[in-house]
Amino acid sequence: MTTPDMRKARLLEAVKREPSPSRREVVRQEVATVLAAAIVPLVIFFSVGGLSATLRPHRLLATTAVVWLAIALVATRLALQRGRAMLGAPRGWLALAAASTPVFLAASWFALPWAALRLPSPRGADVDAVCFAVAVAMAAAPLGALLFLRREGDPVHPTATGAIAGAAAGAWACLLIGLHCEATDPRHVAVGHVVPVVFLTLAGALAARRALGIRSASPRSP
Amino acid sequence: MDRYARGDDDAFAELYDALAPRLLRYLTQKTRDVSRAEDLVQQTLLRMHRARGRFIAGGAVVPWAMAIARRLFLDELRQRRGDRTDPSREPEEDPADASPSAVDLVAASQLHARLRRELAKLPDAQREAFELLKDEGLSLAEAAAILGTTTTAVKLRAHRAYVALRAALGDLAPDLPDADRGARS
Repeated sequence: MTTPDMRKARLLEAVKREPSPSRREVVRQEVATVLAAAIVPLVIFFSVGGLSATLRPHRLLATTAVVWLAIALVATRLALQRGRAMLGAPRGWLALAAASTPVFLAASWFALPWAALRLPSPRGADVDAVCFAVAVAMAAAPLGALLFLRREGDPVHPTATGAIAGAAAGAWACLLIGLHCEATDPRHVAVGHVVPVVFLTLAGALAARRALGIRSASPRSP
Repeated sequence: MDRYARGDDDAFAELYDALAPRLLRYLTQKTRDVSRAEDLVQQTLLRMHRARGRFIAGGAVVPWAMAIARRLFLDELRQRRGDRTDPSREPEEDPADASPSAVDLVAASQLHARLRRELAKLPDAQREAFELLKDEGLSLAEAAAILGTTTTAVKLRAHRAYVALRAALGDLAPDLPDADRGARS
């Protein structure tokens, strides 16, 4: 039979044995993580050629970039915010935001007169696959960073948080691939630029169950 | 918690004193097993210790701690599924609660036992909303954060639970107050 004092002493001893970083150390670690996560997609972006704006009207490109940037920022904020209760936004809001991120990205592109420009676009399944692969590669590090920043830190709805993290990482990748790829064929934009966001949203939701969730130690742990 | 997050290691003992009794009560009610509840309290506080650096300055500690405790309880329950312990079983009534010399105490004890039985019959979502608001005294916003839903949904669930309990316990407690009274927003 353990008394409350014994239980307290046992826990204090366990805490002493397992030091944890203070807020200052965590902030330092988080800044390093964000910087590392930002560098990887930028390196990929510039290694595939960076910004391409020789065929596309600059004003239209800038408008699209600003809208997609706004979508990426909102999704990132939702993925990281924890609020006063430290538990993030309600599950329904996160799920809705994650599901609507690719929809907004696509809708904002189709709402602008891109298709009417009839610019010469590279065709073929290979081009779609290349953009898809590059977008996923660019989003991998930011998604990993978002999950790392919230690791084992979502006791309420890890899957929804993971989904919005995936959508946010996908939105950043969609922005970068949109700045690079000059193709304006609607099918290519949908398959090569927006579908990766859907893929990353699902990947984030799946990965988050393990990465963000809190699991109990085996029953009757010492 | 804020002091502890900033690196003041001595603050953990104070945090323990402030949170452990409340967590133990909450988890005992959920597990109906003091030993399991104690184990989960220890795990909850250990989790909070590990995550102290990520605690937001000025954040609310209680909803965070209770959300972790609830998740650990649910995960432990999942691990135990198929085990001999039936988590939904009613607690055995403690004979010490039924002091034959105190009629009021007996009545209160019976009401409490019946309330617990009726609560156990409610859907999980309604029961949890009711317990967090009425038993734990949390605000609607805090309960909503713990359950990962909106304040409106929590209010609705608690209201439905209250209506169901009122219908079930009407004969024992005819003077129950209105359902919405007492829930802090």
